[in-house]
Amino acid sequence: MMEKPYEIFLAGTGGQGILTVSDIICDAANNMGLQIRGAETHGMAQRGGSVVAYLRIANDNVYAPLISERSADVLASFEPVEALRYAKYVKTKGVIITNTSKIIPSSVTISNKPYPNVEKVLTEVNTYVDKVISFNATKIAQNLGAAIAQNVVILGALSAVEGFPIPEEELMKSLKSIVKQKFVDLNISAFIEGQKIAKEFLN
Amino acid sequence: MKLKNLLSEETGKSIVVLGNEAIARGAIEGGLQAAYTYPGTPSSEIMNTLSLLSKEVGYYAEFSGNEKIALEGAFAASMSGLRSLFCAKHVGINVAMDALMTVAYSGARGGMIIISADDPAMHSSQNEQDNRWLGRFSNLLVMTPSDAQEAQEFTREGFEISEKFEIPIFLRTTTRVNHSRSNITLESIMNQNYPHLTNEIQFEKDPARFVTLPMNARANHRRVKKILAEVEEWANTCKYNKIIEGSEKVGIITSGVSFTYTMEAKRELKRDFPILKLGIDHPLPKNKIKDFINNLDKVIIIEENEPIIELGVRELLNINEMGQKVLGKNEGVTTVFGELDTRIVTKGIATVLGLQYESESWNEPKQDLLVVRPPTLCAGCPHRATFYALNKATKNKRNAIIATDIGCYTLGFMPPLHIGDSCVCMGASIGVGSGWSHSGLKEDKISIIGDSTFWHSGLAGLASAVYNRSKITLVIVDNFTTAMTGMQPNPSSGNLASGDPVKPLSLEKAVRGLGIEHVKVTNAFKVKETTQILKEAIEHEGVSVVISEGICQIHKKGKIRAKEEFPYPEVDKTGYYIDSEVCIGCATCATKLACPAISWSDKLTAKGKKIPKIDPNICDPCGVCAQVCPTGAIKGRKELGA
Repeated sequence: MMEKPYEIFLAGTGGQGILTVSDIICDAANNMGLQIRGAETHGMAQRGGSVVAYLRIANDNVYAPLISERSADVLASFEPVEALRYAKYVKTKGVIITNTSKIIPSSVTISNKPYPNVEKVLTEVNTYVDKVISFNATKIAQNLGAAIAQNVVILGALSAVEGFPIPEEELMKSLKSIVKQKFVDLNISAFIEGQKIAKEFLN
Repeated sequence: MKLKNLLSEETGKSIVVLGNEAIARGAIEGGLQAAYTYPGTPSSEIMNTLSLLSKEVGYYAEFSGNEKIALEGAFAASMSGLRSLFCAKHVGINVAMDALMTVAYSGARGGMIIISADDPAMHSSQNEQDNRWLGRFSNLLVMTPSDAQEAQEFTREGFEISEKFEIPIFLRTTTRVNHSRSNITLESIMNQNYPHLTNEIQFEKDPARFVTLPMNARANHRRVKKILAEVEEWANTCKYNKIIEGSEKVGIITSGVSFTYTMEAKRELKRDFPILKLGIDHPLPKNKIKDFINNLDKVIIIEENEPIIELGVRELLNINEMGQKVLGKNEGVTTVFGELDTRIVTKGIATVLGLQYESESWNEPKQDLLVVRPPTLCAGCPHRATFYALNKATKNKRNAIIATDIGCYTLGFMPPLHIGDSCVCMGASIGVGSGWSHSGLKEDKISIIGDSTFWHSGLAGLASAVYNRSKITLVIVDNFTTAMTGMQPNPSSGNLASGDPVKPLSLEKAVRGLGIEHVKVTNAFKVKETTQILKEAIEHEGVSVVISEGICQIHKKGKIRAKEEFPYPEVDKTGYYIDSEVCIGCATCATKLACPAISWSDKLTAKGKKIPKIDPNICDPCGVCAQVCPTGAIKGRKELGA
């Protein structure tokens, strides 16, 4: 019987660089001769909405572009509430990686109600899977030189997950060819930091 | 780099693309000579891609005023013997229907592909209509690719099929194909010529076919029905409808993206169902279906939204007295609502066959922890400024009702601006506003329309409103681009699909040309002025028009990058900040504008009120918050020496 493809669920808000991470993974997978099927939210980028990208990767026999509930091997979220929103898509034995830096939508600001407590959000996320890796990817990226590289910090963490089908060398190769040349070094550092954090947690 | 990939001559190479990019590549491989569209999600990237490549490859590409105009253009190319492509979203096909119904009768000369990008689950649409119905209604050959590779293949080969049968191909995709990401294999690009560059070909006259007077139309109708019978014959043996063999006595018929979920459901359930995958949903290959079902005890139909295959199969089987075998929406396998995925299809098959299917359960997350994240107007958006002014001018719509329309400005509906009491379809803001004014309502009637929407279908509505003595205030929110779908050109934007600059049309002149006297143009970013102008326009008896101009911030960034000029002087380029010494905590900026750059700081005023802050990374300077602040606490960052 056909083997089930490896499923990666990416989530965040518009402008956080989710599709860039998706591009890097897809490019690497394609170079390795793997089959990719996925789907993306388009158009919400500039408008503050929730953005998701589904990626399903295997040697062959990948068909569906969507990931169903309790099916993904890993969820990588660039924002804590988005991690909670999509936690149910990860299988119980899967892994959730999330940035803890919050992005406050204007809908919260005008309501005068507070943004939910991130600790409470993370506690709830923990009820879905056994392994949750949470850290402030934005702060890490900021310290390395640009907050916007938080997406690559998360990519680095992703690469450390057991069973992730793309080896580091391939991801690095694709990363170097996709990000702007003058930011390559910054992005490599971001990747390595994220990878370090995830490895520490998983061991 | 990615764009270069789409023109690569490396046959057999594998690249990763968006479904819409695969379609663009397929069209180029197939010898495209003319492409027409009006933007609409999920089809937009097809022409975004084709327009960028048009100069290098050579075909003609156009963003037409609306979908009907675009289809007419594509048909004109086909009549001239050119291979043409038209694409639109599902509701965009509604706009083109008048042309579509008759184009189907006359048929195609040069291969013609009509792409309908449908939106099950209406991710960004006002309905989830299933345009496969048009197969029956419009006498069309409907092809349904299930992924990016098939979308590329069907487009490439569609030109030849269209020429073989002399009818257009209706290529029906859905969001999860258009916006899917996957690898495709490149095929060779056909060597093509581009007559529109030299104007040398002779038009082959055939008025009996192309002038659809009743006597000609009657002949055309017979002609198209005859062709469809031939197509059905061919469909029984063509490669687009294929059987995946299986050992069981329960089989599945499916098409489009539903096929992909069906294959995965097969794996989930560990079963070996034979599958008939249709690549042609109309006309259905009756003989192939009959043969497939003959050897089976039961057949399950898996399709999204409408039971089109199901009804066709039931009709067929009732004729052959095999009706009991079919299990579909009638038996609850799937519903007509929303989209499918692997889990829904697996569960549907398992339930109707009485199979055991265990999957991990989950709880819905606590609602109070889930922040709602609706799409909103960007920081610095001119629509926010216009709508704030409109709320001021109408004292929060105390005695006003507003018909709005389709575009980024539709998002003005969200709190706190709450702009919109009606929104139907493109151009309806004017048709509805006008109708309201003849319905005995006491409120002021205000219609809101964007520049692209106005050129699409507002002009005719406005002419009709003036002529029929309606009393509306039309506010045209002009941001100089078609923003919601990705900054495509329109008659107000000053550039073409090819990138060539042209003189934009004047909204003001067009409106005055209808004889409307009360017409005012305002700078959206000047709040007080705009408020006053709107007030006066609303008080005016009869039709009045306010053109509220303000460039879209994203479009502006593109223009800055391209070193092009754009209207209106910049406000303080360095952005704005809130001086916490001056702020009195009235919360106007934070709660009445909903600008994403403004959130709460942890500072308090002397009286204990919360003070907001502006994120300089998100602020796209427009100056509106500084104008609405009653104490002048919001200042340009230039002051800080930024």
